[in-house]
Amino acid sequence: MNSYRHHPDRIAALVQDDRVHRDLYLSDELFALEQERLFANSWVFLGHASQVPAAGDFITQEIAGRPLLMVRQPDGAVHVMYNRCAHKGTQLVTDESGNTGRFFRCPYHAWTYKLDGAPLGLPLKNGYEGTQLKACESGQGLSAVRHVKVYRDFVFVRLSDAGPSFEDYFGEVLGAIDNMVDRSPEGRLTAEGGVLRNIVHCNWKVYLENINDTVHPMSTHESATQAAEALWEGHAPDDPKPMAMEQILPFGSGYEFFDRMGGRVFANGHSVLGIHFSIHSNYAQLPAYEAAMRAAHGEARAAEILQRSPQNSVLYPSLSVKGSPQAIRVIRPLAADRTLIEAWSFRAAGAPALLFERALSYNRLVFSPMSVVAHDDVHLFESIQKGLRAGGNEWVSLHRGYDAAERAQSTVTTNGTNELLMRNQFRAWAKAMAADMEVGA
Amino acid sequence: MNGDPRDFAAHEAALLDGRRFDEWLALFAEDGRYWVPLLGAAQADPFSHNSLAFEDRLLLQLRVERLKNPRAHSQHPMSHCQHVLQASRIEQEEGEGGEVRLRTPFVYVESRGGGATAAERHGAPPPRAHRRGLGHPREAHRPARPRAGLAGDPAVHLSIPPFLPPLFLITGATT
Ligand code: FES
Ligand SMILES: [Fe+2]
Repeated sequence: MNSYRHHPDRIAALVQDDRVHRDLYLSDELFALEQERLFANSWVFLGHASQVPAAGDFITQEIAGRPLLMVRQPDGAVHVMYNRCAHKGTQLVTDESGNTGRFFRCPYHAWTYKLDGAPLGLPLKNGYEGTQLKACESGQGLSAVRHVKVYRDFVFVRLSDAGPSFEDYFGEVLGAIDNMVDRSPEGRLTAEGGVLRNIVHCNWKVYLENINDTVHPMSTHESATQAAEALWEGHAPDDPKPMAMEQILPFGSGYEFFDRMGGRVFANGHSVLGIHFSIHSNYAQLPAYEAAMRAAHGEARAAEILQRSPQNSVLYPSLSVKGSPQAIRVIRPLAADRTLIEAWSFRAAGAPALLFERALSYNRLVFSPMSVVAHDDVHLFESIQKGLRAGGNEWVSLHRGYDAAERAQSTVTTNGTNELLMRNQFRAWAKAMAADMEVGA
Repeated sequence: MNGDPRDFAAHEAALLDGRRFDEWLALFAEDGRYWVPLLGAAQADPFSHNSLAFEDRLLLQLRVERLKNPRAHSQHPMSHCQHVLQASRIEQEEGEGGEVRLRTPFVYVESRGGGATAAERHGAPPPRAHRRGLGHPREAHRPARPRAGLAGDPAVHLSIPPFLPPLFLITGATT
């Protein structure tokens, strides 16, 4: 039974001006449609080019339910292919990452492929004479993902042939990636230190909404921040703090702090939270690093780069960037009620080791499966997923700060506690889901 | 702890399972570090690679204090914790004042719900992490001794959850 496929009007009705329907989080059918329509038609973050530094290096990743393979070529380019043997469909590699040498050899019947996917050879060649193999798809080698964009070493793919160009899709929010890369005096980042993974039993949109939710830290993180404050009590406000304290204490900032930090939304669901300042703004200065930045970028530009430290920038629907602690989170939906969250740390070329330690420390404290901050978030995300099944009220409130005029503008600047940043995500969701949908009875 | 150092690992685990966190914390040296490397024994240090946890006394204290707070939302209901230890093995013993290196492969299971009694609810709060972890938890090592180092390969175990589904599962070796 299809409730939503071929019914764009029903999908559109789930996202109202200032509230959304619970089916968005609960429906398996909508999850399948999201994979097909939203994730396949959008530009989704695959990985970082530094994960495949040498020719033959690969990583595997699933996007919109499809196994992909990113490979460094002998000429230095990065290729993305479907991880599917041209013969019968075996995945060519099943490790998360590795080096394949000069070619891929399928483990099943030993067909081989060049690093760019071109067919190289197969055993028992003579049995194929006179057949159509060469002309068939199976004779063409590995299928390439056609729409790949490597933006300052961040690799994105769009799986569908339809859809906006990379630049049109992201627009101004690409400044979040620029800022993180520009924080390297050499303009180069490497993803290092492995990835922290969590599977959270909630819908991926619950997690993504929370990235823009500034009203929850006061109440959600009360136990962690009260403990931190009690332990730090008696210290003068400008006493140098251990890095962990520097990173945890600001979670306890009041409503007013989060309100004043400001936010901005862009077309297609993207946003920047903390356009004026954020919990990352007051990390200790590092004079030698700042000097290197001035030498690389000039006085004014270096100041502009370092001053900018948003709370979170969302490249909808899958990437969240923290420029200052140089960390990203990637949202990988697994099912309507299951989401894999990855937290990656970056090292900035030419910057002191301490900067990388900040990234590691932040991810460990806030996003590790053993974090003391995120336990309470995760508990509440999973609680939402169950609570919404209750019915009684089928709607989720996004009323805070709603203004009818916001619907007409694609870029809006607002206060930091306005739920506009979430409404903007759901409007993009509805648009992508219902766009060009065939209408049925 | 005096006596056989192998008893130390069992004692430490029992304190955690009994939610006796203040006593557990008191076992720690002032400059002790609690390290759960992401790569298990393969990980050289906590500075070049991420870890599930790498904490000094201040942060461990923060953990313990947080758990005492009634607004530790994720402790409603609270966690039940169970360490299952293999026999500890002394890998390296030194003379007087020296360091003992101990290895204790273990399975650790945490679960929530399942009918805590009122007494349990009002007793001491439960321990540390209780998240569903995916970060190679099977390779995680949990050094229990202050200033503990890591050695050898992690032990990998199959775990059969006691009567509730596990929320957090770490198996490995305590050194
Ligand atoms: S499936 Fe790959 S060679 Fe047969
Ligand atoms: Fe949070």
